[in-house]
Amino acid sequence: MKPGTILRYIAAGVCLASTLAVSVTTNQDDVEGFFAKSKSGHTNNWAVLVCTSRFWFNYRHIANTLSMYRTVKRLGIPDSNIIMMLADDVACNSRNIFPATVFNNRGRHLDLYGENVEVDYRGYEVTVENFIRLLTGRVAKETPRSKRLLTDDQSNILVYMTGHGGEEFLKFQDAEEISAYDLGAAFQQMHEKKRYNEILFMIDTCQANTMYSKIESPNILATGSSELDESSYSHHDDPDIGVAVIDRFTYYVLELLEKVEKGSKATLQDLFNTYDYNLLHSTPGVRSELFKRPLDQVLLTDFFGNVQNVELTEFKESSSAEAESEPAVEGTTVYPDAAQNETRLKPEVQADVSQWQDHTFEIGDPNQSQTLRYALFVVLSIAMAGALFAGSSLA
Amino acid sequence: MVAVSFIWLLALPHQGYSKRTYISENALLPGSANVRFDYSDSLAAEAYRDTIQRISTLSSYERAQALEQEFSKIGLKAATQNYTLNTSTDSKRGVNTYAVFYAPRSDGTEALVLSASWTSRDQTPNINAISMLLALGRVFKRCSHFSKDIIFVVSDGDADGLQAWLKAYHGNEENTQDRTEETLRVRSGAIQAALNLDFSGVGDYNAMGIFFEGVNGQLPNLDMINTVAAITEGFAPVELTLHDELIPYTPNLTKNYLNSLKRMLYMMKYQAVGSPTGNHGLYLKYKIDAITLYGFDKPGWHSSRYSLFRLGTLIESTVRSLNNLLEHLHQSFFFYLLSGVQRYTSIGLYMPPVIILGVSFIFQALSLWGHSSDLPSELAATAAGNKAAVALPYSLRSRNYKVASSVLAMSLVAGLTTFHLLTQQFGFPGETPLLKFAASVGVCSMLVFSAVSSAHVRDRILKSTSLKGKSVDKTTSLSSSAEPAPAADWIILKTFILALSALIVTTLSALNFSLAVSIGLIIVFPYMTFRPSHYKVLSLIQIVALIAISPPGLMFIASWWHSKDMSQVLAWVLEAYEVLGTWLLPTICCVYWPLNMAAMVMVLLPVS
Repeated sequence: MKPGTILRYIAAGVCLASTLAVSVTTNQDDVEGFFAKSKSGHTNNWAVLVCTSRFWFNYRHIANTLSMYRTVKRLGIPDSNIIMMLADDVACNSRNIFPATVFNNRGRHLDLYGENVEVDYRGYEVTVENFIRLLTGRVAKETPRSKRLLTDDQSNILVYMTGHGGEEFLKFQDAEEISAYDLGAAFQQMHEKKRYNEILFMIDTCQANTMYSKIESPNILATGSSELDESSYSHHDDPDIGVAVIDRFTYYVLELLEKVEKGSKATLQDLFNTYDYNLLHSTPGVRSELFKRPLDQVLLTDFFGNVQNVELTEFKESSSAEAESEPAVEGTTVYPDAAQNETRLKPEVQADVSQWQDHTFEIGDPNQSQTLRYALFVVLSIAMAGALFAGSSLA
Repeated sequence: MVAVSFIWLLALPHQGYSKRTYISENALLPGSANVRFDYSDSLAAEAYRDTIQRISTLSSYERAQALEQEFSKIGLKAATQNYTLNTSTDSKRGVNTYAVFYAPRSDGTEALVLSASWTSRDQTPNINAISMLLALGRVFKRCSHFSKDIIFVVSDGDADGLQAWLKAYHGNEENTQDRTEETLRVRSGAIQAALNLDFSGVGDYNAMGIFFEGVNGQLPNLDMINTVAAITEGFAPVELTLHDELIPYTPNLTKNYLNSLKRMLYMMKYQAVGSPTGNHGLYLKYKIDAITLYGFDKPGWHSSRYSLFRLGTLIESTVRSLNNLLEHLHQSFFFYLLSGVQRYTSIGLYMPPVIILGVSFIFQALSLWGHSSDLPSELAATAAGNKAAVALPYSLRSRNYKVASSVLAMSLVAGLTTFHLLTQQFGFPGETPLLKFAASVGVCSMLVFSAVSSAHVRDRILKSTSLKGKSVDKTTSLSSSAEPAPAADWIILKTFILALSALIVTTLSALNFSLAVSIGLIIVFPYMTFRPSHYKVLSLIQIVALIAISPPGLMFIASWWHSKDMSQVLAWVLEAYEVLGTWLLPTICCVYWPLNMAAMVMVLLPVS
């Protein structure tokens, strides 16, 4: 064989190898992109749905919450990941002309109470204390799993609240109220405890937008039905049941969500674009400065659905050991004295931060490993080309 | 101050001082639900109407039995209750019928009452109302959405029947010589609210009146009226008004004001008298909010007529609203003045004038008290008479309480005596209230006469002794002039009268505003301006005015105004006290009359 042909072979081999190498190295992004359809980086979804109103005439608030429950369940969040707090049971109220049903529309096509509704906090269990304990994970030891928010730093949480509110407060059952400061503090604690990846806080009440004004923690997107000094209104009555069955804000949010399927590419921006004063009779608000991603890239299913992302990590011996130590922190067993608990937990939490960073990101500079890999491939392919050449020359 | 209070009171009916009523209780949701009362139910009501018309002519006992059977036929648990009531003038006995619809899905701890009496307020059989109750019972029996039981009560007599039933329902039944009330056999939960129906005859109506004043001027929660008003504006359009007066709307401001004033005066009249304007008033004693709906037909009035059909939807819708209640009505006002079905004046606006009136009494009493010591003139006298004398910072003049306090005490005793005379049975032959009343008037006039004459005699004696004293030691007259004569008795007495008036007016204003205002307005001028006079004519005029505003005088005026016999008015007042326990008679006898007597004595006292 002539040296010219050999050279040509070598050149062809190098070309092949380099394209191969390039294709392999870019592949990782593709693979991650394939599993993680969005850039949110969450691996599990949770929903906390709270109706804070009692009494028969607040039927619509119960219907709001149950409608949301139905939607998130339809989009794939399992009951185990939905914490529903319903203050009153209108379905079995003696004033309900259709016993054991709750409807959110005059047409009564859909019985929200129809099958398999799992209420986690019911009646007098819906209190401010229970709500904050739930969010921050400071629940009593004997609390069943169904009443715990078992989230981690990979969890996207939808927090939906409805009831009667005012400037920077929301009434709980006509007995107590939660203030915007309480809520902000609870979210801050969740952030410190790495209990969430992202939160969508949605609230439908009078002067709702004041409720999220005191949230300071990152990665929280908030939206409300009405601004300061504005009421939120009900959408329509059912004259047979004799009460208003749904609120305007929730009604129009649901109108969009009903069109969303599990694989939908609709984004939160699409939802916020549907907000219309003429329909709602109040000014809905969105607070996104704490939220890092652009809204037109945030899928609705990041919060309302349960589209599972898979995180690709390098296999590492040490990571499994760390992973075992992690539930101890995340479970956050509660001690009777909350203040003590705080001081006890803090060092652990901070230690945990570094662990998690180790765990999530690969050790070393990713670019560096990329070039190494590239060189390795070049060498390998040259060797292969040599072997090929040797084989052919032997023949 | 009196002028301010007057102007304020007159301004109250003006549009600017009243607000539009609104539903305060969110739970009520009036008119938001469809009703089940349909055309066939209206036909059923008409069929019941014939039945009721037939049985209404029977005796108390028989018609109660027949009605019990009708309720049982619908499937309700029905029963009857016998009662007797002996008052000083009358002996009443009757039979109530009642039936309970047990709400199928509730716990039976709460109930609503729909009631009607056999006789309407215009003294004709209350046929439409009773047939309405039966028809509604039939409707409710089909429904499963009630959270409260519904009790239907058809009471005998005027107020006595329902009173007996309510007493027995709350476990207060008596079994004495004067009253017997049979224990109820069928019961339900605590009554939350009640509607009393008064739809006499068998025809249609073109207007509906709301009666709401209860015993002693108690009022139901304003939401009760608001609910009915909201429903009549909604899908059961009915011309709604207060009481039985229809006043056409006018855009003319003065006329409008006068109409409002007229309506408010009507309300205040009913409230002041203290006897309820319908059977609803009895519920209020038990803290049950209730109103009477009264259907009437005003010929020539423009509104469209309504039949049992619309009435049925209206009442069912109201019951459904009340059924939504979670607790007693408490959100809206309990103290209000209405100048229209949808216009109210709240307590914050109407209380100040009557308090100002009370305060003006107090101020005049205080100034008279100061006047009785007369310190400035005393100082001037000492300064002029004797340069060396030290001016004292207090008055030397003594006040003589003997006459004033004894007159007041005696008049109070006389008042109590008249009260007992009027309410006790003595068993004399030919004993009538009018006779007893005449006797009490006699007692009172005797008291006035004796007090005045003894005071005059005492005055003469005092004068003569002081004259004697002066003649005896003329030399020491210097010292006697330094010790001035005590203040005149009438000044002290007037001070007491004014102070007591202030006390009464302000205290009553919290209990029964209208009564306080009427008493205050009647007495303010006479008690403040009248005083003994040297001129016989002036004294005479004052006495005549005081007699005119004394209870007998007022009663005479009232009987003349309503063109009724004195004895009828008296019997009515007595019955209200004995049957319903209104406070009008005790207030008049024990508070108002004694003051009046004292004022008469005051006017006739020596001037000095």
